[in-house]
Amino acid sequence: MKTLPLILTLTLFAQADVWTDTFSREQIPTPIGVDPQIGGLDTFPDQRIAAAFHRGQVMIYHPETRDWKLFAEGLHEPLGLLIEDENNILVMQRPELTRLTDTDGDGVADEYTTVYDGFGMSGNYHEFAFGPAKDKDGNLFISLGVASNGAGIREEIRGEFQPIGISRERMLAGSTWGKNRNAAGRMYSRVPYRGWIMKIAPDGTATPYASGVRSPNGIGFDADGRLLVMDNQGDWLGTSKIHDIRKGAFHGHPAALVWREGWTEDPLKTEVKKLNEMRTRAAGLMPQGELANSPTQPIVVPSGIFKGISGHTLIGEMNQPTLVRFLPDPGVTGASQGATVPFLQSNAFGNGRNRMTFTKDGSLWIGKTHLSWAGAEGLIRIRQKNPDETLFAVEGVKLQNNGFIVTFTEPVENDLPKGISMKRHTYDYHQAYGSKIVDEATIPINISLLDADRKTFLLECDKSQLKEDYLYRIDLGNLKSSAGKPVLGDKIYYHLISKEK
Amino acid sequence: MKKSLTSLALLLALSAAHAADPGKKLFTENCSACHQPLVLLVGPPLAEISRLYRGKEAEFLKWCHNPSPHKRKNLVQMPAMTHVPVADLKQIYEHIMVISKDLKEIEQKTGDPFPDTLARRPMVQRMFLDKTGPASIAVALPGDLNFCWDAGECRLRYLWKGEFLDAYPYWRGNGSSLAKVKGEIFYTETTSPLTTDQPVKFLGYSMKDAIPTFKYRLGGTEVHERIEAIDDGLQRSFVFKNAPSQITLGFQANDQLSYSSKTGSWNGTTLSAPTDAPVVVNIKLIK
Repeated sequence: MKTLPLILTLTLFAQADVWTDTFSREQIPTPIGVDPQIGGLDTFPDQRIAAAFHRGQVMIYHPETRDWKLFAEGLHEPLGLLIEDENNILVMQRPELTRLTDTDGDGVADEYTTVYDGFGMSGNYHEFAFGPAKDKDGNLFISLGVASNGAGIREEIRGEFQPIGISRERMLAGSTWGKNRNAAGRMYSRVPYRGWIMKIAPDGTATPYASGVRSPNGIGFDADGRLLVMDNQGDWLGTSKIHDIRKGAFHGHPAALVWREGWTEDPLKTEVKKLNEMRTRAAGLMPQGELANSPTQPIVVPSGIFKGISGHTLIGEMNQPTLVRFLPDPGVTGASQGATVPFLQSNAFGNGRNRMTFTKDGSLWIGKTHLSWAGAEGLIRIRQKNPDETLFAVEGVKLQNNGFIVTFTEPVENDLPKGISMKRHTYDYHQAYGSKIVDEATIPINISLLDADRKTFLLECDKSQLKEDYLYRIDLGNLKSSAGKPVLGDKIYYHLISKEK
Repeated sequence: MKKSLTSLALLLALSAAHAADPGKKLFTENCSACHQPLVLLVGPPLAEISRLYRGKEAEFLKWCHNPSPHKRKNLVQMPAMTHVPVADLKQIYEHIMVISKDLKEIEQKTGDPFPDTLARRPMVQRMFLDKTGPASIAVALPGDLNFCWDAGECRLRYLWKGEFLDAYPYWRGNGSSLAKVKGEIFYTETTSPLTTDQPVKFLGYSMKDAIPTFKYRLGGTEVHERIEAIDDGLQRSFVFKNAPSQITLGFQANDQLSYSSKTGSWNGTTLSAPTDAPVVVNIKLIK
């Protein structure tokens, strides 16, 4: 009799720990005396790792000797790091994009070259700067967060003040801020290009590339060349987003519009209907509380690592113990839309997953931060316990005019798996912070097998149930592979922007 | 036997409660980013909320809808939770009261856990500071002199004597507080000695002997500026590229400073010097 609870316990924990069954975690000691919050992480060709820390140090970790060595210091809140070559590292810090160069080969940077500082700073704490991401032509892209009305602006600013809607005097932090903060908007853009993605060409020329982001703590290219930028739930964002950034597009947060050529009105007074028509929908949505609250860096899984999902994009998350996998559906509609699926969703790997890098041995390194929000700190190394094994997971999701085709990386245990269900809901697009779950409904589905090797299924529903601007939540229940492996990532969240033509 | 059945029941009850607790879900979605059980993050810990609002649901709801007056001036104020329906806020309240029932408030750590970050000299730290632009660079020189250089306007802003910076107010959070200068500012410079109508552009700095040489462009002229400590004060050196053959540097008259140089000629505190060699100005501090 005594064995019954034990078996139940094991079953319960076994379900919760499909991730720790598959992956191991190693805590990497960070350098003594250094605040171990990590804002940037990348790998050198020789497999050493560079990390940027909260207090401005860039340090290099040697995985073999396990030594940390100081490369640079004194930076202002570095939140992005990109290795160019053995002697050059790009770092995005609050005031500028900087190239750190070791000119004499002693392993320490002696040149701190300003690559781009042509954006404004109001001194507001929420004006974080992220990136850079590099495209195949060598252009760099950075993302600039907007300010928060948790505080005003400082007396001295860098760049031109934008007076549309409110005067500079009323924007000042201090004793009068309490009276003025609501008029400023929940998040605001009072100096150039806050809320924009900037493109910096190899010759140094910078151009405003796209607008309408809020707190874009994550920018990178996916394997197909999409420029993905994460954005954090808040005002105008009912839930956190994956933007597929397009040149000239407005991605939804109106604060940035004041820096559009020819824009003259206070965006807070612009009709929501007009903003809604102007905006480019997010390619992916991550439901608040359920999947992600504060998404971070996207990274492509290199070929040969994590078999089954190589080439896929993983996204970090600060606030929930998970990563997110993004599955774009190029489809036939022309819209950039797709599905998000949890990855490494386990308390065992902790919160605060801010920055990621891979090494050739198959390790995924995750640097953590909190900056006084929820999160964590330090560096962990995740390895697949059996790297030869294909991960059993959703490989792709394709919208049909009568439902979704879901493909798995390995055969599913039954021709017609049971326990799969589907719901949908939408979010309000409005100035208020966040959104309720709006118009939630359960959608009856009918499952049919589409191929002989039991990898591809049609989840069919009534055509009228497929609505644009809705998030479809597919729960895979206790789905297992034909080899009995539980599915890694048991939910699919498909953001339907546009139906088949 | 009885024990195993009890633990089985408990286990099932716990897992059921976990699965079907809307208060927990709402708390995770709306509150957990800033409120932890014991530790002060952006917002107060649940143990404190429990002390303030246990048995006072109406006051809790009032606080959620109108977080003013702000309880802690050095932290960011909570946004009004008006987007969360009152019924949901009540569930969140119940959840907080349940999970905080046995929590004992702990003393919040106040000291810097990494007090030695800026203990070395010389040292460079970019930081939010008072009385300067947002893109500023603080430098601690060997000895006891420190200065603030503004990378936005490309000029020296002020000098202080004593210890370097207390940057923990900035570092402990998300940057909403300024770092503090740990000493007395004895000199504030109001304009660059190279005042010009030309646009100014910061180019970065190189490190030599752990002290930065700032580089910037004034119109078509590139300037390399370095400030170092010498026996009885400071040395400011300027190297010019693509400059007119002669340049004027207007230093600020100040009864605590006296200026001298080996090259050029002085008219009061204004120096006219050739640009084919570095312009090195010694600044003696008069005690």
